[in-house]
Amino acid sequence: MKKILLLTGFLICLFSGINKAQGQSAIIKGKITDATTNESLMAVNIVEVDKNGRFVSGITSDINGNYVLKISDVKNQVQVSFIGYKKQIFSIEGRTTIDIKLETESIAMQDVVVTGTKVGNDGIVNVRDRATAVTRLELKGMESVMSTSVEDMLQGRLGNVDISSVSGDPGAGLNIRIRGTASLNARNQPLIVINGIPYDANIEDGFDFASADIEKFGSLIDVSPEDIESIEVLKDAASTAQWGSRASNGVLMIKTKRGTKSKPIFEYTFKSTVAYEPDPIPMLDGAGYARLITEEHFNVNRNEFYSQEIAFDPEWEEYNNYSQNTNWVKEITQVAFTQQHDFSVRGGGDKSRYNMSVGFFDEGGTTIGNNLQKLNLRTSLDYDLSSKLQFKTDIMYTRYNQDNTYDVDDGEYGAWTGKSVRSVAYRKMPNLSVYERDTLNNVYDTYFTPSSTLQGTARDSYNPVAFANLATQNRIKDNARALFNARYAITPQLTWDGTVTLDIFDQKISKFLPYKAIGYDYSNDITNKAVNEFYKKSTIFTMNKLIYRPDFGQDHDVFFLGQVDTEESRSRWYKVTSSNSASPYIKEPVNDKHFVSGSGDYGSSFTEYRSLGFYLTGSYKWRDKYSIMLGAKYEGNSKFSKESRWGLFPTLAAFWRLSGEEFMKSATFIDDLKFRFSWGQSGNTPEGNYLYYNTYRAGSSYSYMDMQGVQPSGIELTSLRWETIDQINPGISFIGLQNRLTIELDYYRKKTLDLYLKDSGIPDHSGFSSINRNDGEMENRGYEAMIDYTIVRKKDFSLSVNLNVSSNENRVLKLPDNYSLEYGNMLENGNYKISIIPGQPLGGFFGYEYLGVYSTDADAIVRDKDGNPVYGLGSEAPLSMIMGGPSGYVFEGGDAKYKDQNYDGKIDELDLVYLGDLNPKLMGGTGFRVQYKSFILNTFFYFKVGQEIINQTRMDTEKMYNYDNQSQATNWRWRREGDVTDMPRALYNTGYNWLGSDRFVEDGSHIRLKTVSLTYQVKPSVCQRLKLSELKFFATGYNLYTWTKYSGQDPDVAPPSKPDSLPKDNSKTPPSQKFMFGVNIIF
Amino acid sequence: MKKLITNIPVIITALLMIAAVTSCEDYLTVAPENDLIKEKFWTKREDVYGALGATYDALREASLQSLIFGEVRADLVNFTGAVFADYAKIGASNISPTNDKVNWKAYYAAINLANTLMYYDDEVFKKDQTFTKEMMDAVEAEALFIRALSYFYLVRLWKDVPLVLEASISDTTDLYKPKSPENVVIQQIIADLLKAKEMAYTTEYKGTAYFYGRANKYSITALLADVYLWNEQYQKSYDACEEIINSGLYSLEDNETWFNIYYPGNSAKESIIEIQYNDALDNQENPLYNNLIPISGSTGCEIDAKNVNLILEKEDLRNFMGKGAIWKYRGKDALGLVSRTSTERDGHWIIYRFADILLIKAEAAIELGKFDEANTLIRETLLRAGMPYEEVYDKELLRQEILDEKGREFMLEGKRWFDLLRAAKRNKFQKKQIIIDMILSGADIKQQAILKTKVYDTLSYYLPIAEHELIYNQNLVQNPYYDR
Repeated sequence: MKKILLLTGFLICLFSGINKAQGQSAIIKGKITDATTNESLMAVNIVEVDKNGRFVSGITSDINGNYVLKISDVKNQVQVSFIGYKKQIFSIEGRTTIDIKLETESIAMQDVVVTGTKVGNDGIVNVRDRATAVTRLELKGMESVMSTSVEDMLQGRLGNVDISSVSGDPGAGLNIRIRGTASLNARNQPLIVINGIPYDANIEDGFDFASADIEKFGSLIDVSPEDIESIEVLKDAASTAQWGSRASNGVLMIKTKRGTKSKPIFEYTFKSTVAYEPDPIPMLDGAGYARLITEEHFNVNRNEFYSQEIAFDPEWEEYNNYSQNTNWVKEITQVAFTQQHDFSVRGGGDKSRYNMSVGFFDEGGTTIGNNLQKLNLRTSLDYDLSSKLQFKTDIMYTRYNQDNTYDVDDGEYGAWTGKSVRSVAYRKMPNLSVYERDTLNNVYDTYFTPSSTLQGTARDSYNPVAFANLATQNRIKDNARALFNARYAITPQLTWDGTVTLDIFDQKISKFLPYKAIGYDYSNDITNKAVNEFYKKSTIFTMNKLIYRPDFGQDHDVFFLGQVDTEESRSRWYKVTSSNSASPYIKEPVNDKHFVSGSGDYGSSFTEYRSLGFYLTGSYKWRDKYSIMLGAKYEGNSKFSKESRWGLFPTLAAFWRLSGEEFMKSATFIDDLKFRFSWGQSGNTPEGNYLYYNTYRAGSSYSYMDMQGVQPSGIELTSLRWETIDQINPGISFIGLQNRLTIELDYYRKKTLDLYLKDSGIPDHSGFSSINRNDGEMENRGYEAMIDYTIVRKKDFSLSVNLNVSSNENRVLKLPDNYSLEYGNMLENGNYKISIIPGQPLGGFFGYEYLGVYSTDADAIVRDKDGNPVYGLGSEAPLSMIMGGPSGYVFEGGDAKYKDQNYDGKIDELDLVYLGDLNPKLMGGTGFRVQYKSFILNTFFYFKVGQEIINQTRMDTEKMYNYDNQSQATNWRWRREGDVTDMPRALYNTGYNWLGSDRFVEDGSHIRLKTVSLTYQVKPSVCQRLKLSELKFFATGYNLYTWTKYSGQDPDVAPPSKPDSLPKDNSKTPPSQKFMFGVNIIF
Repeated sequence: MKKLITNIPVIITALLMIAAVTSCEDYLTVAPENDLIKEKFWTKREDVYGALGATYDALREASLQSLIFGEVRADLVNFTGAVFADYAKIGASNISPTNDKVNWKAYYAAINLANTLMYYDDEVFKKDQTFTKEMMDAVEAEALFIRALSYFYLVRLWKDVPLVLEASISDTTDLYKPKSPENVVIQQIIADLLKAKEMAYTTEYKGTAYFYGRANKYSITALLADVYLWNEQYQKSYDACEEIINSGLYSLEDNETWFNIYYPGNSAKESIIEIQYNDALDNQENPLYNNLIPISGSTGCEIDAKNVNLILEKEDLRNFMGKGAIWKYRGKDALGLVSRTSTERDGHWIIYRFADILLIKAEAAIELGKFDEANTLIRETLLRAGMPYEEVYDKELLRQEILDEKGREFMLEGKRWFDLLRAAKRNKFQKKQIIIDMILSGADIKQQAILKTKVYDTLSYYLPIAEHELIYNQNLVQNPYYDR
């Protein structure tokens, strides 16, 4: 009902603009000619225009340039326009025959670049007059040409916008954080706004694959970089207020290119990229592996270990299959090629403008079995019905077609989780053959996939090449979005602006695991397993604005804005799985006999939320010197109960323009200098809907005898409320040296109040184990500096540099006493302790201090503070160090040595030390741009300093604990009494040589030469001869070099998406070195 | 006029804004489609019985734990193996608040469901006319029984526990209760049971499984008798037993048929109340079959031969030694010949049977000085097991006799530890030596030295509060014994 009401209002508003005026009619005729050549002009528009600039009637001239037009009111004017000619408007003044001579337009047919009073993406406040923290990136010129994606383009360019890719695979998700992590459990990603309307491609929480989503299918910004005109990042609460709750983590505002008044401009860009992966960690070969495994066992049992599989016995019939030196990581890696085509046409006349584009993108992955195809279509139309009433419409369609290797991260089989192709390739026995070989060493084109090996069943150690090639996963994602906008000037001061958007997101994931990929036989219930998973989401967004800008003379600039916005989003998900399909060619889950009923194998779910927001703001500026803006957002969301549904979020922003003062006029090197201050609050909602409801569940697991059991599944959360983010942001903006130097400095302090604590433990005596609640505080603070300096600006040569540096310091301020967030059993290998403690930053972790390796058994003894051996009661020999765990393992020579912090002779939780956190202390980017005649050289460096990373890959490849292959670094391992080394001995399933310690924690600081790009712009004279208006060739290199001390493949590890996970480098596909070549043609 | 026309959009927008504010509550109320919500649930009689079913199911969840807690610290059964590693520590009196099994969650889950049921049944009574007052009373009686039984386990295991009598409905409920002293909880249990006894059905379900599987007047009375015995109110305990015996509904199964009380269970004569299992129904298989019975060589739970032989004669029918298993939960016949199969996991977990009443009455009789009657009662169960009985008239000897007979009769029915503890704590722990001797004799020599200093503290006979409970609820105070 509400929707209909709003829509009706919308329509009434529209049509009330068309009020017919009656007057005296007349007929005019005449001939239209070119003023210089006197040739008659055909198809010229002749229109009657009323006093509001609205078209009343119109006609076009015939082949001889003649026209006849019936005028409904002689008071109206006539407008004559033709592309390439100057427009004429005149009154009839009683004439009936009017001949018209049109003059050719002298301005070039190019985009008109307006400078000085650039209007921001919100369309209200001039960029120059902003008091808020907004960074703007104009994309005219080079930037878009150089990048393959929006994210790529943004990384490191905007202060305190941390963009890190989850993996280097095509279509992999991104982690974007603006000014740090502000919430423990609610959403931390910024809101993306495209052409004034929020864009939400996130998959709703509560669906089965929502958690894994970011890894594989992040919410990519589905806009081709070619289509983008500008991007703005809104960081402080005062600027994001308009966008309401989902904007509390900042807003990325994208404005796409629109048509301008010009004759048609065609633009075509082609890019071709080749990508190479950096060298993998060198792993042991077959012989080295066999030695290691033998030693692992000998060190435990003191007897020879024998397995046919690593014995290299030529007599064995399988000898040839088990005696190779396979570099598995290399086998699954390839050189990848990418192609990109973008074509667009734009232009328009007085009344309407258009921009249509089509883009095609085909990206190959550096890991075999991965690729992505993307098709973008976009149409935008602007139509001015009159000077008072304008319409805009945008239609966008994107299709993704993404191929990945079968994803085993979906919880189908607990033990199997995380066994990605790349991690198995690192672990896999190197002496195995990729393809089957017979006793004469003939190689067949069948993959060698034994169902079990020394390493265990094929489920855990499959043949990665077979798996990557045969086990498939395909995702088709369609995203269609239509926007309709009308703007009506009710009076010159008062404008109404209304928008409706419909956004449809549809995704299908189909997976198939053929028996050949894993080597199990047909009867096994994971062979020939087919999964179909559908997700559909539709969102309707409306926004109605009234903008009032009264005129109080030159000294005063006042405006008011009132806004009502609504959003309704509905998502549906379902999934079905079957296995043992009759043939690997039947990849759909149609096998009803083997409908798998394990957990997570099928399901269906529906969820919906709505929000309603009122926003009111007013601003006053006096004489270009002082300005103040006050605003408030009142927002309601269906995720909360009636009691706490509404949130009120006030904002304030002000500036003082020092350069506007009289006494500063003499300082001519200053073009603009202003001091800004903003304060504001914004709200954050939890992910997931219906949380406050007291729901009941029924099922056989609660039944007793024949009584069908029903029980409450949770407590009613009436006090669940908005997580509030309170932010202050003082800043300075400086422009000087004839607009050649721009400096922006910002400081901010962002405090999260009523921290949303998901699944927070409550006493068992309540009958439940956890609830969601709001309690606690967290803080992010830091600074941002941005400098843009054009050192030289001459006709043939220009040089400019830019630099942005930012820091963010995160701290948990307060948590309820009865809240505990601790993970990690430190008495077991491989774990680090995470503990969220007030006063410490989020993401901090604890572990042991690694001191190297005990050289001999006699070294592995307890020592007191002064280093003297400690003897047991009445014992002659010093006490041995023991592990504090239940087994009380006694350390020996060759074992890892950890610092016994409290000198109690035991390594246990009391010996933990703080090892660091994942938050970078400093990050930013810098680059320079040189233009010499037709050449432009652009370079960009990107850096992050001071985040600690757990090198999980190194841990996995140096632990020497099981049958996993290990890295060549393990050749330095301790082998016999007296060896002095840093690498402990090999111990099969025993000992504590890979406890979470500082041994595997590394400094992830790095500076990366992200892009070097050279563009050649063909001279206009040559272009003209080719009948082109512009022609550019460009070549770009990406990720050419990284300066770092980090030993893994990529130090740019994405921060974990949940507070209970660690910043681990899990040997995901690293970002590759890429070389791109391209051409850009405008005609 | 013209001005007004141009202002129409403004006016309409303004009106719409006002309309929006007044009706936006409706717009923002979105109910889940996947789940049943409270507002739609409590309307019909069937809803009440659904919730009652879940409450019994919660009690059943707790029953496995009750069984183990009733034996693990006592002397007749040993828990070993990986599955029971944490229980084994409890058995060895090496108990830490971080032990995963020191967890009262299962009992409080049942208590909360009972509380929720009692909170909402009134609403259904108002909405559904076919749900009569009598039906509602009976449901409340069952809920009170489940709550009382859960609290009775809690006080025997933890001594002082939070007394939660309101349902945890919303996050505005007080979820952070302090502990209440043992006697306050006991008084609540007694009050609840007295109330329940008045409201419960007497023989409504006679002849059906409900009669054994759901609480009625006599099962409530049986629990009451047991609570009175624990609380040293012997006359009242004695009277409660009298009431059950005099009802004429119950008697002991005889020699030939006595194994029927374990398989198939629900003995028409002897059963008073049993937690029901049914292999044919989803999720209602008896887990004891898997968890307590060593299957194909894996170890888990076994009878402590040394201690059992001290009290159980070879000729005693109840002696299943040498069967390699806990026969009560595995066998199909009294002779120890036929085992149950994995599709016959439907033995019940007995809370009270008539033998309990006889022996509770006997114990009360001893304390009341009615030695003759006590002797008669003890003889009954021995006689059924084919054993002779020699009457004794010394109070201490009789106390020992009843303790031994209970040990024999209820072996592995989750009662031994509570019987020992009750005997030890009588008259302000006058006989704590019973427990001290038992713990020390079970421990190896190395540990004995450590334990000796500990077992004299009677608080050590109760469990610690799990560590996470102390973190989540700052109003709780640890059992002082574990605080050192």
